[in-house]
Amino acid sequence: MPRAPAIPPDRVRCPQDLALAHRARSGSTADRRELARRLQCVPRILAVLNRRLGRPFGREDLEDAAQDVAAAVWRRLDSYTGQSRLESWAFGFCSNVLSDRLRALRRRPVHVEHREDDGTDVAPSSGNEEAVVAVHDVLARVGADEGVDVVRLRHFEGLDYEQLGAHYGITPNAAKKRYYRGLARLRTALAPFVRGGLR
Amino acid sequence: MSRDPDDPRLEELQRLLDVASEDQREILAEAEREAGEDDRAFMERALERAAAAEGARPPRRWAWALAAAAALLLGWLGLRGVWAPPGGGPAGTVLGDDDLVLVSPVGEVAAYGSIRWTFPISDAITFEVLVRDAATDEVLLEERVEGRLSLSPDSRVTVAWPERIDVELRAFDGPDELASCSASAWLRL
Repeated sequence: MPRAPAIPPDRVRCPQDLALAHRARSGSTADRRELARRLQCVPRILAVLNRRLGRPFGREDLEDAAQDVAAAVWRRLDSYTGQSRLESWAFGFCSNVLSDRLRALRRRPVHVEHREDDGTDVAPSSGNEEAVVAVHDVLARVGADEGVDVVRLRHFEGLDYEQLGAHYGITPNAAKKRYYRGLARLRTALAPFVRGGLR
Repeated sequence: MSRDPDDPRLEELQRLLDVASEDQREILAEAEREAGEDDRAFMERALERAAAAEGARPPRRWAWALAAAAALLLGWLGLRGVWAPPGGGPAGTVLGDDDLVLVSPVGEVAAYGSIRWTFPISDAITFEVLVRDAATDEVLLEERVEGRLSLSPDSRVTVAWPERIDVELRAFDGPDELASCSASAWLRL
């Protein structure tokens, strides 16, 4: 199992979540239950993403996907660094799993158009769902890579350069440079979506 | 969020990230609001299964490498006659080296004792036993026995046993050699 890169304790943004992750991994049933409570949003996240993608998956597919997410979260729990809430961290796995399943679905010769209603009532689609899922997918795949993590902290955790500088122990200007280097790295991975443009 | 006006593609990427971030916030808020007892129970079971599956997962790469190395070693030992799988073919099948197995002495032993082997048939089969001093290659015992699967060497060997010996065994049907095997044995010090 991949180990989390060493992050000084004073830079951990969600220390309680990190402690819970460590306790759950160490085998405590009570802490695993608490982890399950924190991650109870996973099936709903999958249902919402599925709805916004035009419901390509049925209820059973979503249950399988939720199991896959739980397995992936459990396997990678040691790599969780506490830089975002556990729920946000799990969101990346949801996008990742759904994205993989979407690719597999498109490789199949017959595409099933109709899917049963999963019971969720969500806001209307923004029309950028695939690009959005791709962003989360890419961010989840690069994991704790600091070159890209700075981008995630800037956009998803809302840190400005001052805060990023404090987080990494560098000047705000150096944080800004690091952020743009991270963006450049992401640009290659997300080129198809960027060129296609947002609606 | 600040934009990079000098690079439109970078600006578009920043916009995509902002949209993704906003979407994630919306979806998370909604999912956390809607999630209930069923979802919690589902995730509890799912995490339990994940933990159990991890405990029962197949051996890692190094374990497979170790198993492959052990298989190669057993194969090599089998070829050398130090170890060979037991048994032989049914009547009528051609018997080969794998069917002749030296049982003792093989490997580290307290005493060389009797020399014993197995072979699917023994009637009318002649076995030739050759024992050498492993250090000097001196022949300590050369004996042919018929219809038997053991030999007591002590009465036949007049010199003191060396620390290590090599035993060669051959099976003959008349003049035809059916099988052979060999093994090393050494005294436990």
